[in-house]
Amino acid sequence: MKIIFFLIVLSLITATGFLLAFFWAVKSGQYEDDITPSMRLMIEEDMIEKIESKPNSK
Amino acid sequence: MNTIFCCEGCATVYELLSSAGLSGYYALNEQPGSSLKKTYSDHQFDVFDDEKVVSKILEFQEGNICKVRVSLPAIHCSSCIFLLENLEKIDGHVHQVRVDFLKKQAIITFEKDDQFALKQLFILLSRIGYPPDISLQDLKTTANKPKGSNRLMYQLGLAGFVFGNVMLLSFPEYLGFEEARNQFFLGYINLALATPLLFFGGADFIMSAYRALKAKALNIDVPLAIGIITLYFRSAFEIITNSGEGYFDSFSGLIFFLLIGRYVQQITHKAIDFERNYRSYFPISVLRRRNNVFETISLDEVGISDVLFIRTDEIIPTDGLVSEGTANIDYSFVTGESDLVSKKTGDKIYAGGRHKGHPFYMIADQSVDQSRLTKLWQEDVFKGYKNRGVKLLDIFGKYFTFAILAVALFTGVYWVYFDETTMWYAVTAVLIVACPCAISMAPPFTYSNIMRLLAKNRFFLKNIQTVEHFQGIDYIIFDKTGTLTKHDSYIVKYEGKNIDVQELSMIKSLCQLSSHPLSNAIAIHLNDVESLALTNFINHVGQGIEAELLDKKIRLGSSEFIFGSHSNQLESQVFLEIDREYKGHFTIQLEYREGLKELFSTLYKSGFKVGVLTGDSARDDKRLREIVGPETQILYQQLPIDKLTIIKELQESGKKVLMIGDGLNDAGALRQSDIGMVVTDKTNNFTPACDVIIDGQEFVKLPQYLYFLKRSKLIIYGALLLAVLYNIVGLTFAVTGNLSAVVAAILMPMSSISIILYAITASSIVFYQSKIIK
Repeated sequence: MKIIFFLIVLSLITATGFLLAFFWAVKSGQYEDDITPSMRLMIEEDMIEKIESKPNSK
Repeated sequence: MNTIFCCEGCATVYELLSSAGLSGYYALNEQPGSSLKKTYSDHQFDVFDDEKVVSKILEFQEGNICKVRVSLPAIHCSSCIFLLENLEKIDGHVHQVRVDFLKKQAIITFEKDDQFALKQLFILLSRIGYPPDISLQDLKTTANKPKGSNRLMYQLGLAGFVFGNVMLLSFPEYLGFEEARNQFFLGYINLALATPLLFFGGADFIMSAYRALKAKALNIDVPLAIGIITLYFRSAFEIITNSGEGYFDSFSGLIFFLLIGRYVQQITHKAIDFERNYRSYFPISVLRRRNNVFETISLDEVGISDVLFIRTDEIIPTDGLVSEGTANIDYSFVTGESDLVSKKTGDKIYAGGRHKGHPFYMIADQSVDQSRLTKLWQEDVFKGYKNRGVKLLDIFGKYFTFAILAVALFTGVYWVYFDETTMWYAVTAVLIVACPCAISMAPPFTYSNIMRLLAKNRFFLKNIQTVEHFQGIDYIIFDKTGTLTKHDSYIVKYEGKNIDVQELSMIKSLCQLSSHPLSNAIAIHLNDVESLALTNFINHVGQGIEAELLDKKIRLGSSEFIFGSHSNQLESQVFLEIDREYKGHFTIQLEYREGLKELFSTLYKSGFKVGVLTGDSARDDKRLREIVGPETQILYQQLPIDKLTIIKELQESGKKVLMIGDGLNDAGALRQSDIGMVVTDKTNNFTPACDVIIDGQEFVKLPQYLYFLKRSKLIIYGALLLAVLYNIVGLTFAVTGNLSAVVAAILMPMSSISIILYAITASSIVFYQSKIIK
């Protein structure tokens, strides 16, 4: 039955870890703007070169 | 290069971007960017040469590295993000840019040196089509970001964490393994988990109840606080004395759900800023002449008898006298009249008008804060919060608290007679189970769902309370210009001799040279006609305009300008003369929105009283009367302060007034009314002080919106009824002394979740019934 003790403590430590991770995420501002990052994702890193290689695309 | 641009400005931007290797901007979206027809003079940002001003705007500065958060209203698509976040490719002084799309803001880190500072950054932004929107308001407030806005997030995180773990540790209990509790100190672990939540999550509700009691009022937070405290201390007592398992699962669940309710209440509409005041309309700087030296000063520094230089399209910042030149002022901002007022040297001019025409000098006779316009804005209505009715939930909370205390007392007395040992058990159980968690969640969820549904249709509410304030509305007041009429949309009629195509072209070209509203109207009317290059253009300010094509002379203006004598002009008329021959005249009327007749008759059918207040003269009475119907009261030539007074009087006679305006000249009235609604044809970039913003195209559906908003009360009543039913079930357990931890732990979340589901479903059903969407 001692294993239960161990498991309880382990689960609490894990959960506390997640809680701290959440606090860190809030503090670093990840919940302030949840739209822009999704749009930023669509912009390719190599957009600049790509366009220059095919001029007058429009 | 076969790329075609709408204007010179956009072509310049293209050159700038392609030279910096940022042509990708044009690949992301079909037509990125907005047309750069408005030009920005670099002088506009002269005020940012002043270190004092700069330090107010900068968010952070260390050495030469500066960080600034600026509002860029032109942000509208992913191309904007691409361009702005690659700004360092255009100018190396910029280190990093982060765009916040929803708020239309950018956080820019840059390095300043002799050539590059905040001013140059703003000029750069304007050149690529993102003129920063810096208002005087920004200079006044030191902190851009409200502190402690994350507090709720932390609370929510903690509550979720505690709720989950306590539930898990209570499972043996639910399944009947009572020995597990003692063997593994589960109760003590729960107690340890719940204690921080009492201080960090629950304390807010207890404090709110304490404040209410101190003000000798009862709100819904009082029974909530009683419930929270009873839950915590009874559970702690049971665990320490080892007499029971405690209700910490219910306790943490309760706080978790309550916090979710608060969160929902808070997140709606971060994007639209309703809190703008008159300062947003004012320029932030002005050019002052002192000993023949010009200097840019911020508005606050303007003193009495300063000589100010007012350029075209600038707003008169303060009251004063015209000292050199002629002022042509468009006071539509203040009075709603779109006609230009001409003021000669020595004439008195008032703040708030926009100057059109050649620059002139004025002598300020008041400092900016005392001027006449500011006085209107600073009427008492602008101070403090609007004094409006008590919240529905608080009235309910009052009776609810009394009812619960009565039931608890009755239970106590009963058990004292029959079984004293059960007394405390039963009384605390009553206070716990009656805790109005579900009740307090009904309004935020219903109202926020209503706001969400409305916002999808471009009808924006300032906050949840606004929905409640709609309930009592019985008087609706409309402003005319910009509300009943369309923005910048005119009906132009021509009467007189025939004119040929070339002459039409001449008229259009001539009108394009002037910035007068009537000229604009004619030029827009003649949209399809070709433009020609005219010579010898002369602008007789306040009179008319003339120009030549080859040896043909064209003159356009008032009857005085054409005939030399003043005649009675009933409507806005423009007279035309070509080659010294009178041809005819244009009549220009503002165009009313479609469907207004129907709108007014529906409002009357629904039992509203309706009035129209306008700054305009009565020259349009016949047309207006036809639209609004015979019952409507119409008052003409109302100054902003008159509108405010009339609304005040109506309110004193017991009316609840909904004022609908365009937010420019009637802002005082909008604030005074119980609900101020602004009709705007451009919701994206203009957000005046009001409670509701409605899109111009949705305006005719106003009766449907009112119907829906009034119906929302029934939804709340339904939710309250449901919550009370749950309470009765819970109380029967509690009063009889049979409330086990399991029953409490099932009943509490179940009632909360079902209330949320009910609120969202019911409000959506009513919304579709109201026929807002056809």
